[in-house]
Amino acid sequence: MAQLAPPYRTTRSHAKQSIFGHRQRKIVLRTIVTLFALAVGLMMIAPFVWTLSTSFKLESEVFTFPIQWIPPSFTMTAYERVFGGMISASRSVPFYRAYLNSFFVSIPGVLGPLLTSVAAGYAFARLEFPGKRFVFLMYLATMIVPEQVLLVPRFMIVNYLHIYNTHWALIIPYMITAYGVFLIRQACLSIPQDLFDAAQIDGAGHIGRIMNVVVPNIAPQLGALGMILFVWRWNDYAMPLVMLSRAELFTVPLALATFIETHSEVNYPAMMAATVLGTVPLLIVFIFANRFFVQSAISSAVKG
Amino acid sequence: MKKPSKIRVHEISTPAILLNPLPIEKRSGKMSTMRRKDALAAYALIAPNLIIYSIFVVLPVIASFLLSFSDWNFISGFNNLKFVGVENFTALVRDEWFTSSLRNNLVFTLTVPVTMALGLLFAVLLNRFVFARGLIRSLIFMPYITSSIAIAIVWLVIFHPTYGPVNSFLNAIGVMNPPKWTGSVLWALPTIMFVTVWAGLGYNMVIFLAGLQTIPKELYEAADIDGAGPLAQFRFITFPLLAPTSFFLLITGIIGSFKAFDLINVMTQGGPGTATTMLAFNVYRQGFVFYKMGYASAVAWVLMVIVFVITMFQWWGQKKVSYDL
Repeated sequence: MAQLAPPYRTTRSHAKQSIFGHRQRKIVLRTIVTLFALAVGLMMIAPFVWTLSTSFKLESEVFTFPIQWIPPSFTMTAYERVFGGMISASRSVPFYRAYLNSFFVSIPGVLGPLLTSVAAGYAFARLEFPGKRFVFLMYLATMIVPEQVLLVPRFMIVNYLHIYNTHWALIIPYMITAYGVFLIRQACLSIPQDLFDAAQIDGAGHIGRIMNVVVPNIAPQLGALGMILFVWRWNDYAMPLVMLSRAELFTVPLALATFIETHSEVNYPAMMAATVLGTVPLLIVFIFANRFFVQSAISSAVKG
Repeated sequence: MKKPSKIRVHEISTPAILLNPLPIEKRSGKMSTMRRKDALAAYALIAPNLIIYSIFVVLPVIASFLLSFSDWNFISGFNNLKFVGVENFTALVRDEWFTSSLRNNLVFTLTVPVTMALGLLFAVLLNRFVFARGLIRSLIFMPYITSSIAIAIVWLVIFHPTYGPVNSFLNAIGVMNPPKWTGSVLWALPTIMFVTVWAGLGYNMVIFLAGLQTIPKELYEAADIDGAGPLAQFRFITFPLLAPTSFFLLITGIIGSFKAFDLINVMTQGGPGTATTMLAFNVYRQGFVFYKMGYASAVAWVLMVIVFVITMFQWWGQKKVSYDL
């Protein structure tokens, strides 16, 4: 916009000077706003920084005031405790178990829905079949159902299937996502018909068309969906809380929550170390796939 | 030996679908075979999804609806289930935990406009007036991807009534009796609301940033020529043209606020007293602390109806808030 300004202002007598001043003022303004926004950004992550720093402290150094951002003794004791399973006197499940459990539940919880969503999304977008409208409307209607409505009956079904207190209770129901079906269907509709025709002429069946036309063309959407699914699965709390009661099976959020339950005997550096460890996988994904995250947040907004 | 090429050409060229990209409805024998094949393929592709969906979503929704009219304690076994009509729903009105939940949920929806306003402010600042936009956006967005349990734990320690950094600071600047935050009837709900705003701010900002990208640059250039300042441009261009985004964030935000559970369960368990109990937490409490499955389902269906009504409002309102450009 600044470049466009001169033609409109040359009629003024003090044109040159005002443009110069205008530009300079803009840079100053930008710097001030940047500093302000940066300060807010730092305030937003200050709790994380405090958590990180506390995880390297001794118990006696946690609540000193003013806050010591750099841990005075820089000890790894808290991490050793957490990984060695000494969360508290009453709990003795090492934290790496929670890690393994979370990965064990999250990986099929991402790959499964990707597969079933691509298959169903393709069928809804590209094929005609009796009952299509009804099934699709059913997906649409149940998408607004809050998780809490499902909590009690799902608990009953899981009990009936004898998979209560197993990871299957968290894997099988999470092999699908109505949201994913919508997203993939929408993406499939935007692929030109010519590509499907060409594949059909080449003799490709439906699986061939999915693998060679759909998947390459909607790779960004698939990436974004996979990313948001991983965040959902990793952070899921209410369902695991209801489905698991054995501490050895706990996923990361459940393992973290046990710190609160053992309130009186809590070791703060260990609690913070566990929090750091629980957040790191997401942080790694976030740093490497920042663009995907923003994309997935936006696409989930476009289609609630 | 391959088929003669003549037949192949014939096979390929005959179906109308290839000559005309828009399929013409034809009831010829060949077409219906193809259709049937397509339909079978479609069922096969949808089947895995639909089966799991039916068992773990559709069936539970129906079961939950039926259970909400029953009195059933999980521990006493399935044989002791009895239907009680609308008794659960009439009992809700006299249940202090339920009425408090409704009231707290209403207060809690205040987090939505506050989060939106802050999100919009930073979106506008980041969109036009800032260096290092990517970095700042990432910093503000980060809480959104963090586990709500991690967030709850960290803030619980920060707001610790005796040792926490917040109260240490308040003590240091001379506040004699700082609030007990999550331990105080007055402050527990505002504390949870503060953490909710903090956690949701980045998401709102990112969505507003995406909305800002859809506003044509020419509008601002034209406004510049007309001599409109930044505030006037915000008032007459940005704000009205962001209406669809704002409406979306408002509705989904309110629905989300009615589903709030994680922070409450970890930070306060609905307490002190009933100061922070909310509908979603109440479902869990009735169902899995007291094992009153029928009553829990009744609470869940009140939540369901509220979410449904808000969603209907969204469908009705969606078209009314956008401008044709």
